[in-house]
Amino acid sequence: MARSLSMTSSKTGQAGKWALVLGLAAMVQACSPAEEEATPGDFPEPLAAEELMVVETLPADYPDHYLVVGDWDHRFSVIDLTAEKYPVLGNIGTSQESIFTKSATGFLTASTYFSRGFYGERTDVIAFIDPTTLLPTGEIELPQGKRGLFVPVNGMTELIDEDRLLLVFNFTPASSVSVIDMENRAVIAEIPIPGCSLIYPLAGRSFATLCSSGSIVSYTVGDDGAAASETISERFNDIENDPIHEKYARLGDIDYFPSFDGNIQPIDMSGDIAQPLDPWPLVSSREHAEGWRPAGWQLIAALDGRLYVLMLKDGSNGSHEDPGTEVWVFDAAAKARYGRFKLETPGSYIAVTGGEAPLLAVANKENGIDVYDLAGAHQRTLRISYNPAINWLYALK
Amino acid sequence: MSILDKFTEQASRGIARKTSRRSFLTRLGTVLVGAAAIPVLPVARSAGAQSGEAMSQDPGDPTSCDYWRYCALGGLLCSCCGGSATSCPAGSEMSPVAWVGTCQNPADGRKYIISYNDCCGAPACNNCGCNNNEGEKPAYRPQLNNGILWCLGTEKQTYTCTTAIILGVALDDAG
Repeated sequence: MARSLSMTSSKTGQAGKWALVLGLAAMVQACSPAEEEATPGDFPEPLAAEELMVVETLPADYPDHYLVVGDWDHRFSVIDLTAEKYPVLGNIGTSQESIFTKSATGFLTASTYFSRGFYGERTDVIAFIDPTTLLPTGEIELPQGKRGLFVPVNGMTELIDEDRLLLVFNFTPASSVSVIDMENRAVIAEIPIPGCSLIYPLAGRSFATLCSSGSIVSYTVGDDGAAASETISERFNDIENDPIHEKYARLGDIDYFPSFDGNIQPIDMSGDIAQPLDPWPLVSSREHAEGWRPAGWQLIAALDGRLYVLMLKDGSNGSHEDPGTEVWVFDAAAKARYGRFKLETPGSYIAVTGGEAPLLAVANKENGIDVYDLAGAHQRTLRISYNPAINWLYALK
Repeated sequence: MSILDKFTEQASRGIARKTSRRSFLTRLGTVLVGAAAIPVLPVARSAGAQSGEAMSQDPGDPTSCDYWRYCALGGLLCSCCGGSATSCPAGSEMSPVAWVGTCQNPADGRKYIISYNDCCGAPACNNCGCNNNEGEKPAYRPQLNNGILWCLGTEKQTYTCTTAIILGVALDDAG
């Protein structure tokens, strides 16, 4: 550098000037506030070395505001509805069309795997998941290739008889129910339920199923797992004109099913035989004329004597799965609407958590989860991942 | 084929046990429509519907959820993923059983029975998802329900996409 400068004696002055400019620039850069070098200052001791291999666990007794969310990315997420930004506490890995079930002692998942991912040998399993570690602790293999593969809905996998029996709905497309003895963790029987779909728990060792005929059929499971009795109800479901949704919410011993045309069908599930009760309207004549109808997928939730139903105006043939725009709240005993509120964003899934500060969770059409209090005041919108496709909300209590 | 025989037998038995004679015949007709689709769905028939001369009778964009045939389609469109309204994309397998819908063709006013056969076994390509439910019924009437994964009777059972194949013209239900 010095040599090249001296070679051109006539330009020495100019080169020197440039050296000074560059040198000054370097000094200014070194002293600019944005690049002030940090010093120990107030921290004479460095940060302590940290423990490796730490994994979080969840509490044995979940707070009331936890919820489990299923989505199409092969997972169930345990989330905290009161989180301000990132609600996920942990994820459970599964397959597609998996169903989550809560038992008194833990979690169960029903999944279907193929040995090469998209194809190969099929395995259907019930996995036991520890709610504090979210890790699998055991499994039961189901009869191969029978488990119904539906868009997640209630009634695919249900516990009865205080968790002694697990029932799994099969659809091949023949309908049947596999009966699993949970104490011995063994499949003990398969009960055919031709012309019917899904499992609705009754008292003790009984369950009911909804049928294409418009009846509900009740079965009692014998000691050997086979059906010891079968009772077919009177036809109550007008499938042609006003079918009931297969989704419901429970208050006490009564299951409430919204119907396509805006009624609610209560069914008494307190005994071993399902008893359809008198339906009542969710909409006034004027509201019916305006087209107000229940709408959504997981479209009804219930807590403390009240029903929370997703509703849509201008309903028509085929709108029963469109996202609802409002939540209407009904007093079930009074058979009357208690209140209503508009959703921040239309949504298709609703669940409610209880306890001292109950919350409503609505999975909306943009795949966010809107959290409301029971009066409809919007608390926050949560995202469980970058672009989830939520398919069911599993309340835990 | 054996799976469908068993389905038809059990469904018929169940339906016969639980319904009146008249409604049984109506519903048996619905089941048999599905049954007839399995062995006799000719490729030639569907190709004819897409040929140049027949275009005006089958209007609309098969990659749009508004296409008339998709009136009860809940799922992903094969037409956006290497298949078409009447064919599966390469790498997948068509299921022989499906749910059906009844859709009105705006070009000729007829109501057609549409068979929504799923394609199975390949990854889903989620370009076009539709949630249309005209005439759709809940899962306890499976022949008319689109929430069921209908990859049954196939060797591969993961969901890829859904087609919409004309089975025939709907008969007037004179009641």
